[in-house]
Order: sequence, then C-alpha cells, then structure tokens
Amino acid sequence: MRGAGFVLDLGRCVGCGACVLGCRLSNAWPAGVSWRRIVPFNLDRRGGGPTYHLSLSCHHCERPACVNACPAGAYTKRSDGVVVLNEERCIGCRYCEMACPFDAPSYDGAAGVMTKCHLCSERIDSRLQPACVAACPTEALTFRGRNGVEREKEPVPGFSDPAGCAPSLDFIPPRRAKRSHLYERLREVLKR
Amino acid sequence: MTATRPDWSRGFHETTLVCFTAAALSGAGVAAARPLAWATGLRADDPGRGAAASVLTLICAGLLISIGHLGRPSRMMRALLRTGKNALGTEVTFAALTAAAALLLVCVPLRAAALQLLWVLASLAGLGLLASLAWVYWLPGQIAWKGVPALSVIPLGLLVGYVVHTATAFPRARPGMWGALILAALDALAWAARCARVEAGAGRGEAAHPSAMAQRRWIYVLRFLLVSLPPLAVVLFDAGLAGLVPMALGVIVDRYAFYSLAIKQTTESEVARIESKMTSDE
Amino acid sequence: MIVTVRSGRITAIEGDPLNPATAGRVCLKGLSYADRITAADRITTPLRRRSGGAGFERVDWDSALDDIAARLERLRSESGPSSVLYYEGSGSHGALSVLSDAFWNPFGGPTRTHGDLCWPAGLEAGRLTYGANLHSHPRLTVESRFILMWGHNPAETNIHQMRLILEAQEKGAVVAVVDPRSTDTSDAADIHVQPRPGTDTALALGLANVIVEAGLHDEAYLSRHATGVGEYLARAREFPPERVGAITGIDPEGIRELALAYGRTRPALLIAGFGLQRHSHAGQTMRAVALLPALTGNVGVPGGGWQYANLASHQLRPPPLPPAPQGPPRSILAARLGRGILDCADPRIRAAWIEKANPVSQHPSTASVVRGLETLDLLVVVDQFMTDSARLAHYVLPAKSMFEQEDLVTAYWHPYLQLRRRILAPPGQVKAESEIWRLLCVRFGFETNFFAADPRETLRAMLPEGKADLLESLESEPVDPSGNGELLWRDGVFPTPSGKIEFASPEAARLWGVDPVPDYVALEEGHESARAGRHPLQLLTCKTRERIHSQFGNLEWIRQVERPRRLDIHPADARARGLSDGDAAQVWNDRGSVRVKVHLDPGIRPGVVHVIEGRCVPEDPEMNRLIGDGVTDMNFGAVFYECLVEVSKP
Repeated sequence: MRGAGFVLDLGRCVGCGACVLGCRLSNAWPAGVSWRRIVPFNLDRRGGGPTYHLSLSCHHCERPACVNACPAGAYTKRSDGVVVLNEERCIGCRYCEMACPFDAPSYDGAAGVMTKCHLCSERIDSRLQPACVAACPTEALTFRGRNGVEREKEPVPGFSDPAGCAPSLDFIPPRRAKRSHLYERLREVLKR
Repeated sequence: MTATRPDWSRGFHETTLVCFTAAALSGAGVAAARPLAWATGLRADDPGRGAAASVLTLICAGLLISIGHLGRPSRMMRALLRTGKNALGTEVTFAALTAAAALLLVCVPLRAAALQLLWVLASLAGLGLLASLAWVYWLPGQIAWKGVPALSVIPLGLLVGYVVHTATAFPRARPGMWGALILAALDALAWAARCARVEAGAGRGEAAHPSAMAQRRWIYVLRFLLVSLPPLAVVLFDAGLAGLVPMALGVIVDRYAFYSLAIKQTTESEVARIESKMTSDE
Repeated sequence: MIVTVRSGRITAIEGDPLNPATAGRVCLKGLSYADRITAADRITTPLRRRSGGAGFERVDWDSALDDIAARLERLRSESGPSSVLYYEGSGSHGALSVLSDAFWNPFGGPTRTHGDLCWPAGLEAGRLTYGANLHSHPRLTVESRFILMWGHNPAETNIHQMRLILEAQEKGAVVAVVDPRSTDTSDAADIHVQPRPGTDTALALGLANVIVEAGLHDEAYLSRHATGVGEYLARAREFPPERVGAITGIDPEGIRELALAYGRTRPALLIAGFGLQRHSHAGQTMRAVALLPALTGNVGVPGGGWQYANLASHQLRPPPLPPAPQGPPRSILAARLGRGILDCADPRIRAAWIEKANPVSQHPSTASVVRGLETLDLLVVVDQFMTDSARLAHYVLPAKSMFEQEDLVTAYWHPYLQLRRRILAPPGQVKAESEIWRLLCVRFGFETNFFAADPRETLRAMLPEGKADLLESLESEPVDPSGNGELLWRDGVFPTPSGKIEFASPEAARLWGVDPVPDYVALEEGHESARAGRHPLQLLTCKTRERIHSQFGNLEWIRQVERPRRLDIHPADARARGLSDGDAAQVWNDRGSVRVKVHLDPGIRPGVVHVIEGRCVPEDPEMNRLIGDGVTDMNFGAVFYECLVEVSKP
C-alpha cells in the first residue's frame, strides 16, 4: 500500500498555473515562499514535439531527505504517508533545504522557519481535496489517499530521483498522438 | 509557464555558514592535529596554551555565529535533539566537547601526563567535529558536495591546525616541516578534486549561485594561493603567525567556494540536460 | 465563483459547482483576484494631475467632481454635448453599466463609439449565416468525435473548454487545430495545419472543395435547411487543394487529410476563435468557416455544430432611463479611436470620459491614440490601476472591483445569466461607476431617481418580460434565460431572412457591400501585398492565460508564474537576420519600432512572428504601435492580426 502523494496527468496538464495560485491562496504563502511550481519541458518545441508541463510540489517521499536531515525533529511522516513540517519545532537552520533534491522546503524569511506543502493535511482529513487539486481546471492534478494506484514504473523524462528518496509522485503519461510520440522519443533519449 | 524558484537560488545567504564552518573547521583542526605535530617533533610537554586558546576562541566564535544563522536562534538547543542520528546535532555536540576540552587546557594547570591525555581527548573531539562537518554535507542531491568535497574539511582542518602548532610552539620544539608539506599536498589534492567536481557537475545540475559560478576560475586560483603557499612560508621562512593571516583568508575563501559553487541536481536541471540532448540530436 | 471573505479579506476562491460549464473550477486569473483586490498599486482615491504635469495628487470626490462637472458644462455650452467622447470598454462591467445613460442622455448625448476590438465581424458573420449567435451547451462538447479549432487556443483562453476537449479526446475524438502558431492547444492536436494569416477563407473553401468532391456533404440537410448552396458550390470549385496550398502555404495533401477527416467523422464540432477575424476580410472569412458545419450536416446534432459566440444569456432589457436625445449620436470607430478623435469637427472632440478601457495600451495605432488624447482639454479615466491611458488623464477616478457592487453578468460561451453579489466594501474612497454618475447628475440638476437606492430594483427591471422572479433563482445558481435548451438548431429553423442557413447572403451584400458568397481576397496588408516587399513578416499578438489584455499582469501573483514577453520567430527567419535566441531585436514597420528579445520558436510558421498581447507594466513591449487602424469588412472590428513587420538587429 503506497502512501499519499500527487498524481499528474501529463496529457491533461497545460501548465495553466491555477494549482500554484490555488495553493497560494489556501495556504497564504508568506512573502518569498513557494510551495508549488510548473516546470515546462521542451518549451521550445524541439523535434516538432509538444511542450509538456510538470506541476511539482513536495513529493511526500517514502525516504524523505528532510525527515533525516532535520536536527530538531520538526518533520514527521504520517501513517498515511504525508510528510508534515511542524513550524513550531523548526529552528530555521535550512539544512532540509540543502538536503531536499526537489526544492520542497521553502524558507519564510520573516518568520525564520521553513515551510512546506503538507498535502493540505487538514483539508484531506476533512475529506476535502488539497487546494491545488481542487483548483486544477482540467483535472490533470489529482492525489492519492490511503489506497495506492499502480505506478508508472519507467522514469518520466525530465524527472529523476538523485538522492534515492523514492518520491510518491505518479505520472499518467500522455496517451494521444503528438504528445505520446515525443514521450516515447524522450524515453529513448534517456536510455542512451 | 515559468517556474517559481524557491528562495535558495536567489542571492547568497550563507555568509554566516561560511564564517561558522571556517571557524569550526579551524578550531577542530588545531585540536585534531596536535598528535600529528607530536609525531613530527613537537615537544609533548609543551602545554600549548596558545593553541588551546585558539581552539576555544575559534569554536566558541563559530558556535555563536552559527546561532546567527538560525531563523529562530532562541530555539538553538533543539539542534541537539537528534544527536547521533542526525549530522547537525552530532556536529554541534562534538563542537561543544572540543571547546570544553580546550577550556580545560587553557584554564586548568595540569601535569604533563594529564595534559597529554587531555590533548588526546581534545584531538579526538576535534576529529569527530571534522568528521561531522563532512557528514553534514554528504548530501546525495548536492553534486558538488557529496564524497571527496565533503571530506575535504578534514585535510584542510588538519593543515590549518598543524600550521598553528608550528607557529605557536616554542622555537626549538617545533614540529617538522615535512608534516606541513604532506598535509599541504593532501589538501591541495582534495582541492583539485573539488574543482574537478565543480567542472564536471556544471552541466549536470543547477548552480546555486550562477554569478559566483561564472567567476569560479578566479576562486580556484585564489583559494590555492591563500591556503597552499602560506604553510610553506611558515615552515621554510619562519613566517610565524604572519603566515596564518593569508591562511585564515584562504579558509574563508574555501568555505565561500563551498557554498557559492554548490550544484544541486534538481528537476529543472534534469529537464535542461535532456532538452540539450534533444538539441544535439537534431 | 464562490468567494469566502473573513474580516474583509478574501480567504478562498472556488468555482461554483452549480455552473455546469465551469464545473467548480476557476482559472488562475480568477484565483488572482485575491491579490488584485488588495494590490498595493490599486487606486483608491480620486487623482488629479498636478499643474506642471508631473504626476498626480490625491483629491477628494467633491473637489474632483465639482471641477469635472464645471468643465463638462463649459464644454457643453461652448461646443455642444458631442464635444465630449464617452468610451466604455469591456473591463469590469455588468448590466448596471447602462446607468451611464442616466447622465449622458440629459447631458444631450456625447460622441460615442461603434464597433469594438473583440469580435464584431464574427458576430455579424454568424448572424448572417444562421440568423443568431447561439450554440449548443458546452457540456455537449464531450460527445463530439471530431473537434476542429480554427484560430482558437482554449488551453490559454478558455480552460474550461479545454477540459471538455481533452475529455472528448480521451473518449476517442480526433482533435484538429488550424493555427499559424504552435500552442498548448495544438500540442494536444492529432492534426495541426499552419496557414499564412489571412488566408483562411481560401482554406475553408478548399476544405469545402474536397468535401464536396468526396461526396461528404449532407445533400439532404442542405436541400431542406440551406439557401444559396448552388452559388457556394460553384465558388468552392474554384478552390482545389493545389490552389489553396499555394495561397495558404499548406501542403495540398494536408488540406485533403483535414477535409476528409472532418467530413467523414460525425458528429464534428467546429470552434472558431476571435483570432480568425482580426483582419480586414474577417466577416467573409468567418462566413466561409461557419458554413462548413452546415455543409457537412453537423448543425443541430449533439457534439456537432459551429461555435463562436453564444448570446443566449443576453436577454436583459434596458431599465427605466431618461429619454435619449433626438437623432442618432455622433459616433466614431472604436478601432480607429485616435484618428476618430482627431478628425471630428463641428464640434471637435475636446474632452473624453474613458471607463473600463485602456486605449493607449490596447488600441491599434498607439501613436494616433496618444496624439488624439493629448489634444483634449479634459480627459477623465476611471480605472483600478495607473494604466498607460490613466497616465495621460487630467483626472483618474478609482474604479470598483467586481466584488464591490451587485450586478448581473452575461456570458458568451455558456448560456448562463449570473448574479454577482456584493461581498466586499469598496476600499478607500472607491465608488461604483453608477454612484459616480449619480453624483454628476446631482451637480447638473438631472433626475436621480433612475439610480435606485438598492441596485436590485434596477436589475429586476432589466430581466426579460415576465421573468422578474428570476432574480431569486439567480441568488442560488446560474440561470439560462433563453429557454433554448442544451441542443441548438435541432429543429432546423433559422432566424435569417430566408428562414434557412444562408450560403449566399443578399443581406451581407446589401449591408456591407461584400460578395454574397464568401471569396478569398488577399489582405491589403497581407503576404501578397506590396508592403510585404519591405516588411515580409506577419505579426500576430495573441492572447495568454495569464492576463486579460492589460489586466492582471501587474499583480505579483501573476508575475510569479507568467512567461516573459519575447518575439517568437522561426529559427530560419532568425538566422537569416543574424539573430540568436535571447538577442535583442527591433520589430518595426513604417508606424513605429519596438525592441523585444528573440525567442527561437520552431513551432511557428516561417514568415510569421508573434509577441504575447497585452501591456500591463512599462517593460511590456508596445506592439500596438506597429498595428494600423484598419477596420473589418463587416461590423466595425479592428485588424490586429493584419500587420506586416520586419525584424532586425538593433
């Protein structure tokens, strides 16, 4: 049984950014903090292929670098898999920021503590969706609760796990026409 | 849609870390290098109060500065909560132990045997501190840090320490110059490996501070000149404490280089790497 | 939208799940309203230009309106009421905007504008062809088996529609895109053709040619529900794929492939975007494209048809207002605002009131707009932010945001009328426009009882005859006031002069002097024109999801995620000009010159260049400087996409 995490449909995401703003509004990001971002792939449409978009946040890894890195034990991984940061315990050493290969922890300069996506843990505990998922207008971004879905086993071009953290992020690869032609080609490129 | 960059990539915010680690590795190195100095000629009954004072000063200064790095300094004691399992906590613990040993060495009048024992303990603590400093930065996502670069604090610290002992020992009881040469050579090798790692990593990850990365060759040369040459001057020409000034600067440049030339493997850098592969295929 | 306010601050914005078209979502601009309402640069007090001209000072409403009223009265008595231009754009408006007439009518009638910058040519084409601009419910999109988007980019401009298209595609629909550029929409397409801008009439007739050759047209439907088909088919015969390929620059095989795929797959939906009609032959182009669903028997079928504009919600009547002045008002073309102001005589235009608009940034021929506005003795601009137009004003009056006044809003894709509640008090000294008009009426001694104390009274009076109680329904959900149902044109009865779909339209010829059957005519500023010898590149300035024209781009929430303004140019065109990615370049023609950084775009058609439209902050390039103030062949639209430029090193 896999833990909680996001599922991104690469065939549906057009990089519109509603997820970013939905998170920002719901979680009232302090100045300078960012919990979610869009990374475009092949923005220049090389090879006649499409752009596809990665909407990325904390991946609530199975072996989170942040949990291990924190000297003050401010991070915990819940039984459902969500990695939560307790800002009250944080001493602001920013070590987790150096350790996380996915840029998930974000420093709040005014408060002197780190902040991070918590999969809207209060919302999901109340049977609501995380704010980003609720905001996505094309239903590209969904999330996985207590029951896991079958994971896309091969690596998604452009996304890697350099630190062996086992991110709990699943992708649904693009299925149609041009988007999947590029996708296949990218897998070839990766294999070489 | 452009990516919103998290804070770490904007502006250099590691100044306090530079100062803290420069002081900590130097203090640790002085403590850890004493047995090496004994082995090469330093008289064991030399109490080394000056050296001990430098350990104490450096580590206390370092710890104070490190508190300034924290976003919540009042919560600093929590850094020790996971000592043993956590690199940072372990590092702070070893720093405290080294400083405590140094305090005793400075303040308490002891007989020669007790003195030596205390120095051995201090040096073990100092070695522990150096090892912890290496452990802290052994982060798999940090291309320019993991492995030899993280470990390079050890030869650097030992070199600094050895030179301090050379400079502060009584004139006829000085450690031998070949100790300095060996340590300087080891450190220079480690530095060369670090520079090579930055060069190799530049295309594979994201530079934390692109403006510094653009000037990296100056940094390579400057650090080498400031760290590798003064030990020779101290040993060959009896430059004494004056030789320590450029070395101090060199340690700071070394630490600045460590943070400013950091390269992280991120999703963005992976995307860029694959995109450039696609271009070269066209 | 469902907006949650706590202690006067917006804490949540969600889509209303009771709107079937938007299905409980909002786009990023909707979410950014949380930033927009309280943005640091929002204007919250009246501003008056300092004497000496440098900057503005805050003044109170009484001083501002006393002075404005006095100056307007002087102008009226010296030069007559039409010496004042009233220009209202499409900013944060609603049904209550009509209350401006409660001032302007007794004032004697200002000079007004006709036409607009958005969509009028396409509207007229739809009206001439089908009798009305109505289409089936957006929900039916998912039943389509072939979706052809022509000059339309819903991944940027209608994200809710994009969701439906992707859903249809996942169920097996084929998606085709006609667009000279590659976009996030064309990325999803199975077929993408990239014609030269302005050649779409030829392409449409070419598709018709192939469809009819292959016998894929619906003869039975045409015989019952269309007129003028014979003349149209004769015209289509003049456009074989080879000729169309030469005109459009598309491979004739690609034209055949698209035509056969569209003709063979039912139900097929053809969605045209506003981009298709931003040139001087827009109306005829839109007619030619609009006829394809009729040709193939896709009208009145679930998942099929023609979609451009849906005016089902536009059922509001004017409220009680003072009588309009006798005779038609003097009117200038919105598309030619600058020249219009300068050319007016007897009386000349001496003042302007600009509301919900930003002509200096957004109208074509920027230089003439600025020249025109600078001749004015009085310019009043009502806006939320200090725009390019506001910077030229004598008075800038703060505008409300949409959360600060209850109003009714219509739509143009889904059929719903919606009630917009007042959930925030206007900040600072901000007043709703209707209140500004009322205060002016007081100063002029005009009747003020048209301004009801409770706006609901006015709104109720605007609802269709006998449907006043809709207002209560609207409190809880959107309402379709048209009674048309979800599937339009199922009965095959069309409110045209003939009662049928008009393939040949005598009305078009009579009203606009155009060919009754659409024909391809090369654009005056197109790829075949004389100008193209000097300025060989066709400039497009297309819309983006991050902004609505000159709005939203100043907000921090948007700036954090938006794309940089670059000149998208094909690598071959760039290489030929010695330009590399990231270089600064001059984009110029005889109207002006603009500096923009280059972005190599292999996805754009060679010969076409593009810069994202909309000017919100000073760093945005002023592309409208390069665009002429021509007008569309029908209904007074602007010609933004008919612009030739050259690009070179600075």
